[in-house]
Amino acid sequence: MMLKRITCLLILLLSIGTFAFADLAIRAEADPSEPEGNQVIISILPMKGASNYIVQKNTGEAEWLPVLETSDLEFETNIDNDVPTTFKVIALDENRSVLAEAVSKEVVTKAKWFNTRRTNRFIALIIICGTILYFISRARQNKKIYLRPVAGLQAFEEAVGRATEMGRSVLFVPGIMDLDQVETISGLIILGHVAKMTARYEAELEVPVSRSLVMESGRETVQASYISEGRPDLFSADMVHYYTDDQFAFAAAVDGQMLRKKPAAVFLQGKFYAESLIMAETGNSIGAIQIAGTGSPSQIPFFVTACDYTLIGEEFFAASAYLGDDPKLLGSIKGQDIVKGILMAALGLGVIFETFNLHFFKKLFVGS
Amino acid sequence: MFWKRTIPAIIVAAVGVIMLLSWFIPHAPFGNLEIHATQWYDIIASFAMILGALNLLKLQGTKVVKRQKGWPYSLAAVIAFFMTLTFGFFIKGGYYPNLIDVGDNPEAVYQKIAEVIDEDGEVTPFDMGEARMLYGNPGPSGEKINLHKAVVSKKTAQKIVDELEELGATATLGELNWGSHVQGTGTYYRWVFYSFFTPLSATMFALLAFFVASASYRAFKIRNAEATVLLVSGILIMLGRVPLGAYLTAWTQNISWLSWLHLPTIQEWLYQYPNAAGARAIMIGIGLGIVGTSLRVILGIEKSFMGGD
Repeated sequence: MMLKRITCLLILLLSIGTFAFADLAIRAEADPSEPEGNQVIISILPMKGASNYIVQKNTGEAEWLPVLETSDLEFETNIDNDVPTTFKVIALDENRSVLAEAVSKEVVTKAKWFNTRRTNRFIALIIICGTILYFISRARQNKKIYLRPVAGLQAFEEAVGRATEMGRSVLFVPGIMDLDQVETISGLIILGHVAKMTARYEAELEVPVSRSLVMESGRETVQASYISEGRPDLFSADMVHYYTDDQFAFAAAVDGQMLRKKPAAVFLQGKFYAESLIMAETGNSIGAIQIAGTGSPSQIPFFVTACDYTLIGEEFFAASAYLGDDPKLLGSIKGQDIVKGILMAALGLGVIFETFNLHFFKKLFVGS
Repeated sequence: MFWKRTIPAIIVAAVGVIMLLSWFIPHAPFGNLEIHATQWYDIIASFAMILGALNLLKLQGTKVVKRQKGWPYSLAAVIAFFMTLTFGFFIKGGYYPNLIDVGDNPEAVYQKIAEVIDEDGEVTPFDMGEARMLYGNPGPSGEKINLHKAVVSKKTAQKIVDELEELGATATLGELNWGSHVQGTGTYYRWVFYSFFTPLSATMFALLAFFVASASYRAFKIRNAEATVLLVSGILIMLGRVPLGAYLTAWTQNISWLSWLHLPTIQEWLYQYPNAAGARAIMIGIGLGIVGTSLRVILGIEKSFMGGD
């Protein structure tokens, strides 16, 4: 990119020196360093007396489309990929009279098959995925995997049991976002495990949701859990019900439900925003045992304050593996932990190298 | 089982891998896949909205019919649903007078316009000036000028038109088009949105202030060493962020070796270093958790969200 620009500038300066403002010319070249294509470097060979240049482009239609008016002799502009484009420059004098016109050769930009600016992230992806896959395969070979106990996850059964003993319901909120968020998926996976517990204990389960797709997916999940526990008779589609897409209207509806039905156990597992504390504090006020889990860093302090147990960050995503006890899932968690170890080592090395003013290591991680 | 579990799992795996790789491949057709996928998702989600609305009506309607506990709230929800639906699709409002010519008695017409556009019920010289400036020149060839304050009902708008015509002006009745009524002024939909929905949402949001106070009280209660650290850090951050903190420790700025005791400096340090370090550790964990969950979903190891085991 830099070399290209320097070459263009040298050619430009040479042209200026040699021809001393001879004929007006325009050169358009695709920027080879741009992975997504689209970008064209325009160089104008100036002419004597010109103060401004109007640049236009043409993609085969009858009309020339304006690009810009400039006094710069080199600039970049975007065009559509795979569309032959011609550029025209019109030189204007101080009175805006047209001095001359020139047309460039056709230029075509193409997107690349690999974005080289993201190579480091591609390698990181391979390392992370490779490590996780390796540990999943190890788990498949029945290699014993130990995971430290997480208090919040151990309390799931206790919370459902408590609700059963008290004869009250279990409330599960899988966040306020749609299925395009991993946290919502993770919340639904946890819902499956909680539904198995409520089916076993014959506790009442209520799942208010704020998205229609989550409602449909939640119903499938709960139904499958009740069937797997041999209690399809206890399942009702209305267990998972929709209120509204709106954040605070949903919070109001869930709060109202909490205050009227007074569930003994409240699970807040998913993606939450400002409504997290409103729900958690209401749950706290009715004396429910509350277990929260979220991938939203800014909501974690609120949950820690207002809930009995909070699954922080990765614990939330690992809940399914802990609760399900499937060796393949446990293997993936082990893989994540190993990657975390690698990252910690990289961070330590980064600190040491930066302390000694060596920046090569940091540059390996910098993306564009 | 094949159609309900296996086919969706294959679709999830295929789409997951393609979307993942498309981030590294700018070439068509991968380059724009993310945009297309988002649009497909929005379209599917829009249709699913109908399912949600029907479920809402079914549950809340049942509560009302059976007079279950809290049924008046359900009744309010059902009424609000149909009211908003009606104002969105069937009755829009949004009528307004079009001024074509001010006529021979412009001052009286401006007075009337000032009354119409006035917000506070008292016509001031400012309102009169605004009326003259905005509507004083309807255009040489008789272009229409909308009185910018549209009114909800056709009857009220017609009344203004009649009154303007009685004063010698030429005016006609205009109305907002379907679609633009959602954001246009003087429509029933806008009335529902700004007079009901917005204040109610703001009320719920405002509750946060009280909940933050009660939650902070519990968090800051000294129970153990960690809670004490939290309390001390919290106080330092709070004091360091208000002018009082800077004022109380301003004297430290005169003694070079004590300058680090300046409360804004301490709070900035706490915020930038220990806090950022903790937050980033959590972020790394979340990032890895997301990668792990996505991988499990793509590989079909985790299918419970689709109703699988």
